[in-house]
Parts: sequence; C-alpha cells; structure tokens
Amino acid sequence: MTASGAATVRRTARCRRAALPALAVAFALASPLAPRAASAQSNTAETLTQATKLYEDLQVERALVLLRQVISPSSPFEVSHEQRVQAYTYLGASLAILGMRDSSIAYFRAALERDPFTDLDPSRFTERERSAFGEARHRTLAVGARPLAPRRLDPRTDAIPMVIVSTHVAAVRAEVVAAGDTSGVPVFDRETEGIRELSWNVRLADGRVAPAGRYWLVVRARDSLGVTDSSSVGFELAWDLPALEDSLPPLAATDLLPERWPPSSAPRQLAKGSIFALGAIAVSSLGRRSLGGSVRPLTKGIAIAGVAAGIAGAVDRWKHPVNTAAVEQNQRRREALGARNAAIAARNAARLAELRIIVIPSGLPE
Amino acid sequence: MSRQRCLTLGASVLIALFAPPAVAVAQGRLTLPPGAVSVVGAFADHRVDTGLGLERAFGPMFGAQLDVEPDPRFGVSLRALGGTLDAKLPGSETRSVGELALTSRLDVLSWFRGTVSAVGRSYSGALARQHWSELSLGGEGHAPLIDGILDASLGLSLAPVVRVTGRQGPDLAVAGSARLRHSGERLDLSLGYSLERYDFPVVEGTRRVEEISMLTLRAGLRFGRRPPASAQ
Repeated sequence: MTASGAATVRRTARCRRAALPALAVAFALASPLAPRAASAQSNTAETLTQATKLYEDLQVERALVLLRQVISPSSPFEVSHEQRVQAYTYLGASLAILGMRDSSIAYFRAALERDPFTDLDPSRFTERERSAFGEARHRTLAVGARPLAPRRLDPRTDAIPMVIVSTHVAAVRAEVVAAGDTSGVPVFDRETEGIRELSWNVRLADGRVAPAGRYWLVVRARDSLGVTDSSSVGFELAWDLPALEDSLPPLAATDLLPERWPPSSAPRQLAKGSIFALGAIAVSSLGRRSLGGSVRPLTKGIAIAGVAAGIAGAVDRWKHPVNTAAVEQNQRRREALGARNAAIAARNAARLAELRIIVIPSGLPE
Repeated sequence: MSRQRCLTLGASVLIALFAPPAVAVAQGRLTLPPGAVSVVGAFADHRVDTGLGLERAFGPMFGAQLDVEPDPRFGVSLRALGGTLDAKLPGSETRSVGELALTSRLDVLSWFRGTVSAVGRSYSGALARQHWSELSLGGEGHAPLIDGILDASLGLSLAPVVRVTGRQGPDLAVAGSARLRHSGERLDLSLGYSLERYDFPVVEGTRRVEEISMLTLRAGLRFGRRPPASAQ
C-alpha cells in the first residue's frame, strides 16, 4: 500500500468510526420494538457492534464472519428487522471492499428489499461500495413509506407530511385508503426515484374532512421492465372536536294543529250562535221583573243577530272547511323550527372550525 | 267605603290601565299601537222603580270610542256617549244622559278575558242632576262565530264601588253584556247589548231599583298593525 493509499484508508476508517455511533443510534431510534426485545437482541446487537467496529478498522474478513453469524438461520439469537437490514448493508459494503461485487450487490439488494429507505452516506462509504449499492438499487424495485409521526393539526390549514421512497425510476402511486375501503385518495402519482416528501390535506375525494378511523398509506410502483412492488403503513386519525348539537326533528303530527275543521264543526257554530242568543236573553233577565217583565225589547235585536251569525258561521264552515288560522300557525311553527335548526347548524359550523385532527401512528410498514 | 279609599282605588285602576302605553313611551317606542277609532250609536232604555211607581225613558245616544291594543292580550277603550231619553211612561220625565267609560281587557285564557271598567255617568232632568261614578270588575267569554269575521262574547261584571250624588250607593250593582264584533284589517264593527242593574238599600220601607240597558252599534276604523292571530 502506498503512502497516499494508506492515508485514504485511514481517512475512510475515521469516517466510518465517526459514522458508527450515529448509525447505531439511528437504527435504535427507528425501531419501536427495540425496548421490548432489547434483552433478546442484546447478543445480536453486540455482534453487530463488534462487526461494524472491525469493518471500520479494515478487518473486513473478521467482520464478515460476525455479520454472517447475524443473518444465519442457525443463529440462536433473535434478529430484528433493522438489525438484519444493517447486517446485509455491512455485508454488501464489506464484500464490495474485497472486490466481490456480485455478492456485494446481492446483499445490498437483500437490504433494500427489506428496507427501501436504506442508503449509503457518500461521506461515510467509499465510491466502490456506493457503486455496488447503486447497481443493487438499479436491479431492485422496492417502494416504502415512513411511519407517520404523531401530531395534532388544523385540517383547514395544515397537512400531514408523508415520506415515500422508490429504489429506482418507476411509476409510483401513493394513496390514503380508509380501512375497509377499496378506493383511496391519491396523494402522489407520477414517475419518480428516491425519497419523496408528500403531504395530505386530510380531505377525502369529495372534499370532506376525513372522518376518524384507521387508514393506510399505500405505495405501489411499476418500473419500465414491468416489475411491481407495493408497501403500506398504517395510521389512525382521531377528531378533537367540541360536542355538536343535534338538529331538531321535523314537527310531528301531534305538534301541528289540525288544518281542517271536523264535520261536527258546522253544527257547533250554529249551536254557538244559539247559545249567544240565549246568553243575550240571560243578560236581559238580569233586570228586575218589577221593571218591566223578564225580557227587554232591545234584547231581541242582539239575539236575532246572534242566531243569524251562528247560521252564517255554520255555512262558512261547510263551505270552507280549512282552518286558515291553524294553517298560518303551523306555518309559523315550521318557520320557527327552521330558524332554530339554522341556528344550530351555524353553531355547529362554528364548532367544526375548531376541529383538530390527531394523527396516531400504528404499526410498521408492510 | 270612604271617599279617600275610593280615590285611591280609582287612581290605582287608572295607573293599571295606562301603564303599558306609558312604558312604551318611556322606552322610546313611539310607534302607534294598534287600535281603532269609532263612532257609536245606541238606544238606551233607562228604567227606575222608586217604590212609588215605574219610570221609563228611552232614546238614542251618540258618541265616540277609542280602542288601543298595546299588546295582543291587552286592550283599553275609552267611550263617550250622550243623548236625550224621552219619557215613555206617565210620571216619567225626559232626561239627558252623558257617559264616559274607560275599560281595560286582559286575555286570561284563549276564550276568556278579565275586564276592569271605570264609568262616570250623569243624568240631567228638569228638576235635578245626578252623577254616578262606579268601578266594576268582570269577565267575558268569547268565541268566533264566523272564522276571521265575527266574534261573539258574553260578559258579566260586578261593581263594588258605586257612588251616586245625593243618595246612598246601591247594595247590588251588576251588569251583563252580549256583543258581536267584526275586527277586520281596516273596519272594526260591533253590535252589543248591555244591561246594568242597581238595587239600592230599603229606605222607609221602599227599595229603589234602577237599570239602564243599551243596544249599541259601533263602527270604527283600525289603525296600527296587529300581530297575527293565533289559531283557536
């Protein structure tokens, strides 16, 4: 090895040493299952740590041995999804350094198939490693979506950020699909490559705010060779909203006045006129008999008028059985109900303006 | 009842009658309340049994009436009538009658209203003049006879306070009324019959009894805008 070559190797080694803790932390944070399976995976984690340290110290052959132990089906230790991806990535990188390009590509592909977001930082990996990784990406079509971050947002002004990835150029379609639904709301539909940041305005296709429930961000891709892949990540939406008022039900028959007079109404008007005439005579009889008999002459006028009015009232009821006053009263009641429901709708609209959507991530990408 | 108590009671009634319009003015609502202004014609039959024989006078009276309804359930009317009643029996004398009546009505039920009336009446004959003042309380039931066109009402009232100049007040003062009324958009017509009976205390073995009955025809023009009527 020349002096300049040795310096390059040392620089690369320094970069790798610097990158190692960050990578380890990133893998640990990316795993929601990490706390639960920590003890079971401790040996795997130690092995991976040791392997990456050997890799950074350019003891690639020894690192390969440990990395192969990690991915071996006969390994007695539990290996998480992230640990397996990390092992495949370092296997690919190690084999690339050793000049075993085809094997390197195969391991990189294995890593990409398991996690399409896998990438090699140009500042941490050599050109040879990245070349092999690029070839692996070219040969592998894999798409994925990042789990959503928990957040609370105003659906009128905010949107839910989403991140998807495609390992190489392909026609990618991403849509939000409600659980139990078949059609979704498209949020991305075009040819793309690499990571894409999207946003969803929490609206359904018809413009309504998405109701609370479980949803999936589904990503599908097809490349120029006809190869397809898909991935999805689940999340839940919850509504944070003041209680809404129920609108008042339509008026029932019991709430309305009868709008037609009953058949007995006409004779009743006649009876009323007769009762009035008798009442007028009774008023007349209030007078003392000593003042001139029991009925005063002037009474006759009002009594006759009362009977005539009763007859006219009965005829009117026969000819016009519609109770116009009741019709008007019912109309006023309907208008009052409409006004109250309009007020309720206005209050509900004001409360809906206070709607906030809570995004609850759930599960890993599938 | 003492004169002072009568005055106090009368003042209270007047305040009750005019309080709503006064409140409306005080609140700055100077819009004219609905009501009617009418001319009134009546035939009056005045009968008196002095214990010495029956006197009867009969004749027309004319006047005017102002009705104000500041609230759909409350109304006040002021009526002035005057006329000359001719003697109809021997021993009777022709007399002039003038009357000023203030009545307020308050709907208590959909078919019943309470009434309070303050009446001043004057009889003038060739020999003397007599003034009557009374306060009466009563009620009247009413119902439509022809929908939206004609209402009928029957009323009864008692007058606990009656003062007659030169005479002790009556033991019993009772009145009844029957009325048909058309209250349209512009016209307000009514035909009514009323009878007032006054039984005075027995003095020296004789009881004086008086009554005045009237058949009244009123024709008026409405003003102001009434709220819609409710269905019966």
